[in-house]
Amino acid sequence: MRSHDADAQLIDRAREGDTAAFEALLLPLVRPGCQLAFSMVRDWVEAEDIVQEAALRAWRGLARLRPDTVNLRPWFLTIVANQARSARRRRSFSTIVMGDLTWHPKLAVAIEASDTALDLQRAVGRLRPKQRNLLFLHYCLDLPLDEAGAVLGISAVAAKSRLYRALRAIRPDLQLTEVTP
Amino acid sequence: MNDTDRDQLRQAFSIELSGPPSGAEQRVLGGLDYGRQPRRQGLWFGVAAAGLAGLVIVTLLASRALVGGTRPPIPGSGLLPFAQSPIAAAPFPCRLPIERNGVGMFTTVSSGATASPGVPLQEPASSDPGGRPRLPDGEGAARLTYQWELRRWLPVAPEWVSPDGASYAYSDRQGILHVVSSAGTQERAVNSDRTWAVVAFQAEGVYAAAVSADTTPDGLWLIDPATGRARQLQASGRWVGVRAGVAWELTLTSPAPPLPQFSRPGEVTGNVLVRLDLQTGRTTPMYTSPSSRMRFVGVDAEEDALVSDVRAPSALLVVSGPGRVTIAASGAWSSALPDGDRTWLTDTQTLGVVLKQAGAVTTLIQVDPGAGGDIEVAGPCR
Repeated sequence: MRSHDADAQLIDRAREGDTAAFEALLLPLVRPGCQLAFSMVRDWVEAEDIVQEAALRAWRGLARLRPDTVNLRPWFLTIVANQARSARRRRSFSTIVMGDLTWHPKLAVAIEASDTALDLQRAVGRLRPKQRNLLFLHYCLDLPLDEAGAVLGISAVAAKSRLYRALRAIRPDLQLTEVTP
Repeated sequence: MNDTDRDQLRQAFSIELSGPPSGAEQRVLGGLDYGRQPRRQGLWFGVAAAGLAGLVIVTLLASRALVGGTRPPIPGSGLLPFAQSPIAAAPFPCRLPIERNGVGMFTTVSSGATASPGVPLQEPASSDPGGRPRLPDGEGAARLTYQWELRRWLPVAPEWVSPDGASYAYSDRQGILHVVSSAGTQERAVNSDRTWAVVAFQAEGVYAAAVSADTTPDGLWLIDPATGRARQLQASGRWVGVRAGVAWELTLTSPAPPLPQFSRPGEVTGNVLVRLDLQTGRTTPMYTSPSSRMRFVGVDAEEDALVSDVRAPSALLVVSGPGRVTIAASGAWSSALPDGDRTWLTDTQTLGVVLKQAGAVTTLIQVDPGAGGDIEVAGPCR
C-alpha cells in the first residue's frame, strides 16, 4: 500500500496531465469500483463500463479536487456510485431464456450456494438499495463509516443510523434454529 | 456484530466479493480514451440504448427459439425430467404488476414472454401515491397485490385476496382476523377467538391456521367472512396453501431431515407434502424427500403443487400426483402466482414464468431485472 505522501505526489502529477500517475492512483480502485457497480447493476460487463466512465469523469474532474486530498477512494467511489445509479435508471429488464439451465451465471452461482447463503441473500436482497449499498461498502469493502457515508452522500452519523436500521431489518428475518414442528 | 455475523453477511455479497473477471484493471484502464468527452446521460440516450438492447435480445430469443433449447441431463434422483421443447407461443404482451423493494410497479411483458427492455418500470397511478399501502390498522404491508378492476394496490399477498377481488383478509398484531373491502370502504374484525394466520381467501371463505404459542401455525380452519363463524377442518398440521378445493400440508417423517440453518420466523419446512381434498376430507401423501426438507412455493396454473428443495443445489419441483414429481428448474424459487395457463415465479432477485403443456413444464423463462431488490409478482398480467 502506498503512503499518503506518495498518493499526494501522484495526485499532483495527475493534475498536471500525467496519465500514468492517474492510472497508478486508480489501479487499486478498479476492483472495488467494479464490485460496487456490480452490486448496483448486477452485471460485470456493465460494471466495468461504469468504472471506465467514472475513471474518465475523475480524470476530467481532477482540477476540481480539493488541494489537500490525499485519498482518492471515497471521491472515486462516489463517482462510480453516481454512474451506476444513472445506469440503473436507464435500464429496465433484460431477458434470458432458460433453454439451458446452466447458461446463466447467476443461476450457476445459485446452484452452488448453500441454503444458508440463499436465505441470507434473500434477507439482504429485501433491504432498500441505500441500506444494501451501505452494508456492502462497510462490511465488504471495509470502508469506514464516514467514508462509506461520503460515497453515498450522507454524513457519518446518518451512515451509522442507516447501518443500524439495515442490521435491524436483517436480524429479525433470520434465526439460527427453525421453529420446532 | 461479531466475526461470524460479519462472515455470514459477506456471504450474502459473495458474487460481488468474487470480483470482476480477471483482467478488469487492464480492460478498464487500458481502454481509457482521455480525449473522449464523458457520455451524455439523457433520456434519449437511454431510450436508444434500451431499444438497441431490445433488438439484440429479441434477435437472440428468435435464434434460440428456431434452434430449440437443449437442456442438460438432470442428475439422477428418481425424478422425472421435464419436457424438452422450444419456446411455446404465449398470449403476451401484457402488463405485469410486480413489487420490487416494497414498491408496486408494472413491467410490460411482450411477445415470446420477453420483458420489454425499452420500457422503464412505470410507477403506477397508485391508490397510495405517498408510498407503500398500509393495512387499516396502520401496519406496513408485508406484500402487495394489484387489483386490476379497482386499479388499487392492496396491502396483502395475492393469496389473501378473495377470488372476485372484492375484499381481502389479514390478521392484525393480536391475531384478530379482519376482512376489508378492496375499495377501502369497509373494514371489519370478523373473528378474535384465536390467534389467526391467514392461509388463503377462497370463494368459500377465509382459510386460516390457529397460531400456537411458539408461533407455529397449527390446524386448519374455514372462517365465514360475513359472519366470522369459524369451522375447524383439521385439528393439527402445518397447512401452507389452499387453492381450488385442495389444501397442502408440509409434515415430517421420523427421524426428520436436518433443519435448514436459517429460516424465517414461523416459516414451515417439511419433507412430506400432503394433499387434502377439502370436499372429501381425504389426505394423500404426494411426495416424500427422505433426506432434505422442502418449502412450499405455491400452486401452479394446473393446480399442481410447487415446492422448493432446500438443500443445495436448490430445485423447483412440480408435484402433479402421488410420487409424480418433475424438476422444473434449478434455483431457490420462493413464491408462485398462477395466471391463466402460465405461472409466475420469483426468487430473491429474479422473475420467471413457467408455461406448461399437457401437464409438463415446457418453458421456464427467466427475466433478470438487474439491480438488486426483492421481487414478488403482485397480480395477473393484463
